[in-house]
Amino acid sequence: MKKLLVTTLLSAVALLPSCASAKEVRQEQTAVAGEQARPIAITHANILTASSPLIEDGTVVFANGRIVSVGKTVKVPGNAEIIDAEGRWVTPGLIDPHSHLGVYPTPLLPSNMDLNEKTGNNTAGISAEDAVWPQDPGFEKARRGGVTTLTILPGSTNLIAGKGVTLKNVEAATVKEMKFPNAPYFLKMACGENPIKIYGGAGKKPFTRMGVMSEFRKAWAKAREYKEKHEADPSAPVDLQLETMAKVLDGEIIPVVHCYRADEMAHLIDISHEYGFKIGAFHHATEAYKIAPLLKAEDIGVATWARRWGFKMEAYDASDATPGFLEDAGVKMALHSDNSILIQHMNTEAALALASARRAGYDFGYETAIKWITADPAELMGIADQTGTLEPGKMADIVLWSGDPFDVYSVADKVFIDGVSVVDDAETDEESSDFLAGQYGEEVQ
Amino acid sequence: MLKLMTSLCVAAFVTLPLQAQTLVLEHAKVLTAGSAGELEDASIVIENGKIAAVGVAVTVPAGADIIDMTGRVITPGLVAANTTLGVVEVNDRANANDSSAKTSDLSASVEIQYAVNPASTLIPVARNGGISRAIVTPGLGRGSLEKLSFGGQAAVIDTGAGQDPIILPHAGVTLNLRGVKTGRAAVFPMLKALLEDAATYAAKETPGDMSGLTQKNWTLADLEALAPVARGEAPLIIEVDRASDISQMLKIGKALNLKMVLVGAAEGWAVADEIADADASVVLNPIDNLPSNFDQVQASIENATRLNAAGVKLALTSNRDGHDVRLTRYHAGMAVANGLPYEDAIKAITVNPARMFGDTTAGEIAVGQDADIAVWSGDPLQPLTDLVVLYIGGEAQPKADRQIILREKYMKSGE
Repeated sequence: MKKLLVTTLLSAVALLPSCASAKEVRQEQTAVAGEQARPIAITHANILTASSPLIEDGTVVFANGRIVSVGKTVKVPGNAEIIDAEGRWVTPGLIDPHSHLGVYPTPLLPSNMDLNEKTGNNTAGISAEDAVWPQDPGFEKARRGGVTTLTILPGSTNLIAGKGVTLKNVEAATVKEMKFPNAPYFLKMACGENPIKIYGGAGKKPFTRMGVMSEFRKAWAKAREYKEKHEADPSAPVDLQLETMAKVLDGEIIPVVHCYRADEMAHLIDISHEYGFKIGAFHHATEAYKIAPLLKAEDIGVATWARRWGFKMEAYDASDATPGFLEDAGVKMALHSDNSILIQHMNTEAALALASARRAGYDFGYETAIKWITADPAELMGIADQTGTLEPGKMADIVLWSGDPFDVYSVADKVFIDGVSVVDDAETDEESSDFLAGQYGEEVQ
Repeated sequence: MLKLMTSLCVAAFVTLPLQAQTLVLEHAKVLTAGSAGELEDASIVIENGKIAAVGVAVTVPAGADIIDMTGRVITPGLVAANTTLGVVEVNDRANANDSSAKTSDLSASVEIQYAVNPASTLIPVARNGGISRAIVTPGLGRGSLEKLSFGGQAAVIDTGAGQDPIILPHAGVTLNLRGVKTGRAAVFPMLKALLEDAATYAAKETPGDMSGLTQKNWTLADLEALAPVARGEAPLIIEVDRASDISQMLKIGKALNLKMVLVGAAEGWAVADEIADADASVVLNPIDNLPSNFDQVQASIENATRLNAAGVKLALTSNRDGHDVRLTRYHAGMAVANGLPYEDAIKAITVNPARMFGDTTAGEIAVGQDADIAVWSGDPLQPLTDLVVLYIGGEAQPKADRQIILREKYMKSGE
């Protein structure tokens, strides 16, 4: 399977223009889980499409890596492989907008801690994809948790950390084989305690939150100047750092900001207005509930957790009602993991967020909770036209759960990416990570 | 202690009719975590802060307050094993972390009981996760130590509002064996010698007699703290992951007849039979399944299931942060999803952690136990199940916590 995959990719590479440079604004390499050999129909399933009410006892048909039809009564092609769900549940593949798999991997050792280029508070010119280690065992564990697409971000010690990359969670030897086709890149920024701790702690800028905002303004002023210069003179010399930032000003790269406190998010919004960029989402954002109307007015999304809090001062005011609160206020709300254990349990994370929302008095159903881990992150990641819901034409990224996905006892029985089975409970527990090969461990079981 | 005082005070000074102290919870499904197992349509009688009766056919005392719990599921209050609840308000650079001693003058004799702050805002949040007791462990959960040393004496605390939190001030001595920088080749001989010294001291007839010890730098306080451990009365609480380290530790501890509680034990399943044979217990987070370093290469999502199958007594936890002990019940659910029998999962978050650390006064729904009782809207391991009410020492606990207060404030301002 894997050999075939590589061959396919090599031929695909040959057809593509080779221009993975700083000028690149959309991901160009195509991740392919393989070729779906024949149509598949999952029948008698409870289907949460993330774009419609729950379909009970329904069928989803997919062929050639794409969803063909979903519904109570749909036509099943005669040559289709039939998987009788027998009342089990089907959802879109889960999507995580904030992961560090591959760049902050396990084992986490000084020799492979590639998360932060701590050589300056602005490293906009670097990219997480240059460090992603596809053998991080976390990728497969996440796959077994139903995660089919994820964004790998660098940071957050630097004010401007570098580019983030969106991957399909397929087994591969190189990151190029994982890149989500035509997905936008991100620019990761961070405010608050992390940059201050690392740089201020080393006697460098920024030392305080005043320094944080001042450094941001300086950086974006330079980026504006660079952009204007290049508009006037396209032959002006290219600077990787400023090129990336100019693409943010052009609206081609999505800036996302690691930020916890409401007041700091408001400052970042001011800065975005001053220099002319549009923030895609605040990540972590444990105080987003305090400024929900502002976020709604600015059309800025939030990626956050269901329960994390208090692990540092800026996260002390978290409230577990945040997801429900933001949903109610009309803010685009996604759950994220930021963690290689949590990413394996995003369905439970959504259940916890739903439980907290209900406790706070919001009457949301499964249809809303499933969006927080599928359609909504897809939208924040600029890939909602391709994945995130079970709608005809979209990628066949699908999870068949052993039961209700918000039941803690449910596990992913089958996971499909582009219509190809990547997790199958009927198969053995073989590990795909090369790191785990030959380790006395799971393999002897 | 305070609980006892409160009930005494009520009895002595308040002229309430006796039956006002009696509360009956009726028609509940009761997961006793004890020998009575699971009871359908059962009642619990609470008198003077303790469980006076439990069963399907109990006599309701005349004049008792009766609460119909039809449709509810009742468990013992949950017990968080191995946490910093009450000793860390905020992590990182908030100067609000008092979870380990910053002196080399004391080692085993460090007492975490003095760091517990009953006013911590984490405690009401923990209660809303059904947590009524916790084992606070000093000096664990950190990176590598420079050299081998004990973390100090753990404490069993109570999360009840307005109560003295300390249930047991000396619930064992902690030892962090995660990657001590002096290296295993030095650590194990030294550890063996230290524990042998402790045994020598514990066998002395005259208190304070420090003769015959092989290691230097003992303080009397450290020896006194280790004496109950050396006598097998209190556990040695060892944070350790690698299978070979667990084996070495078990050999040393078994020769000295120590009561051992292993914490973390990422590779524990690989030496499950040895752990069972040494009658050691294990405290673990069942979803820690990643090979975070070369001492955890064999980490497995089935660690809990396999240890349990080998007959090892387990306590299941969330991560160690007090902020997250409210997640304990879901982690137990995830262990069940990966093969742990349900009844064992319930025990692993109630009676097992209590008993491992020497607390016999709570952890089961059984006659004579403190009335620490969690009432749930359904299966307590499910995310969509709510805590209906938590009784601690028979007192219904207040619901407000800092997160709820902030939520209400901003929900109102948005209206």
